[in-house]
Amino acid sequence: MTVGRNPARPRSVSATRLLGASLAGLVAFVLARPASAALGDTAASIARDRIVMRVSQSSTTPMQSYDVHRMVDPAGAVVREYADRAGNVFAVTWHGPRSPDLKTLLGGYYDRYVAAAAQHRTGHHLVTVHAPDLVLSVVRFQRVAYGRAYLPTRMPSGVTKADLR
Amino acid sequence: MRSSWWILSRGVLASLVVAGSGLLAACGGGSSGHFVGISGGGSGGGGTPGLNTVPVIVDQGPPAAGGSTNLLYTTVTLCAPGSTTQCQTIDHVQVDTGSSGFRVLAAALGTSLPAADMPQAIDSHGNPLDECTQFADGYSWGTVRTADLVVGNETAASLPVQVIGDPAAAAVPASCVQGPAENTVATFGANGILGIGNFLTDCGAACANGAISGTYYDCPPTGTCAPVAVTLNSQVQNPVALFAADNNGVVIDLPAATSPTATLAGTLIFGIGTQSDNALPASAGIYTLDPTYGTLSTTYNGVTNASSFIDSGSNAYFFTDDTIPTCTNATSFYCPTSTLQLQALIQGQNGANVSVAFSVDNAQNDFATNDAVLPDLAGPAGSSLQGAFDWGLPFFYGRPVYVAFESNTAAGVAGPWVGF
Repeated sequence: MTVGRNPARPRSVSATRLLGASLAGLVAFVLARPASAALGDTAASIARDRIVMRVSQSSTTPMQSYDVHRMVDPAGAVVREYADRAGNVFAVTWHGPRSPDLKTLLGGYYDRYVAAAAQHRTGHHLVTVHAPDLVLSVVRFQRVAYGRAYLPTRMPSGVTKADLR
Repeated sequence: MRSSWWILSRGVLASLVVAGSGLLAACGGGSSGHFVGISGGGSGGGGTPGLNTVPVIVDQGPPAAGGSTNLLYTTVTLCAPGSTTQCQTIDHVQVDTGSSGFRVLAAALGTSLPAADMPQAIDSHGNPLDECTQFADGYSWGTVRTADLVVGNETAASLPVQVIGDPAAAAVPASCVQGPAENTVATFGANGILGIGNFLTDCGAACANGAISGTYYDCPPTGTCAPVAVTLNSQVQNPVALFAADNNGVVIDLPAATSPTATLAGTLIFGIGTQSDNALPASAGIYTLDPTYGTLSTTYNGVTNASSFIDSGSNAYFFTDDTIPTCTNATSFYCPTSTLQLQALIQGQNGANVSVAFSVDNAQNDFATNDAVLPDLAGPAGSSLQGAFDWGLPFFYGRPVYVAFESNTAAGVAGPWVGF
């Protein structure tokens, strides 16, 4: 799931499917790059995302001003995507034995992560970005991988980073 | 300013005298001649007293990397399996408790040990085995090869290692790529990495039970690579665990540093409680780790960070405190107007806990010194609940840190644990 605009996200509640079941039965989650959130890109990205992420479980928890979409990838990473009422994804988090596919998950913000990582200033196990429009952390230590990316200017009113588990 | 052992270590093969300790190190040696007096048997059996150490240093890193801060390096000797002549001494190998396994940059191998002298591993399909290592700051791609690794006076024989940037490796699979490539000394920041974390292998049961993207790849001579399962014994191994003795853990012993300095020299000690130099002092606590992830808990400002860790491979304290301003330029670090005296509570899974005091100073002032040793360097972790408190290398300054391996018992407590 991509941080940013998500104009065509279907809704589903408490759906669980095993990998190998019909992909059509999976909760669709939409890859939309912030810089090119066109409808045409979205349709193509849905199919790509299903293949790339190969989500085995997913569920949605409605909160007061946003929805939390939880999914588990084949390596056991729990991914949560936070979408506002307009369907815009304003945050993603992950935690598990291995990192999910960050290129898919971070979408148009992936290059910001790459640029920060390429500076090699913080060692091999943690990379952060702290900018007015993007806060991101990527951690890989021993056998844990976790991180979070959120868009401070796109958080729904009343939501803080402490709400992003 | 390099210590004398460092300069000596650049020599080829032969024996070298380690200044300061007077130890004699030799390359390879298939025989057990180096290890007179090994008791063996049982985890962490003692080896020759006093010969279970290797010098380590915090400095600017290999010239090609363009400078580094708060990263720890050592020198190792890599040999073709069973050989005492096909060997290469490799300096500026990063000492990392945040990973397991030895990895060397192909570019750091000289003519005395071309990669081809170390046989490439063959996978369950009978094809060459390549590996992808995904760090937080990028990925490293290369072959898996078998070598003898000599660290100080201890040898890990027939050790599966990764040769990063090996020209013999297949094309990088797309599923390996996460972040920038770290396949050169310049981008990796070291000539190699000595992963001596709490786990015995780099991936573990997950990779033995199934093929996982971003780990091991079956690479047929023609065609493309595909993820492949690899048995535990064939995975890239924590080399210390394969030593004949002093193999249940390590101790990183660095002197204190209270202000920026050019270098800091210390000792990496192998084994815990196996010899007189690696006994856990009675004053030290043992903090057991999550056996799956290798993490422990840290509470700071009333927030408990359940996925925290103590890591020689991180170069600062990284934690979340929104009251501390981040630097204008180096936004990955904190820039308080005056030095802050802070504390946080580290707690192991066993419930043992301890309050740890630390200082945070202005990172931009730190970097302006151009010193490699910056004891009060800190930055934001970008996470809060269930997130990170990353106790990087400054935590190790002036505090011996004990790292006990999984499936081993040290000081009477089953690993994985960290003690200090």
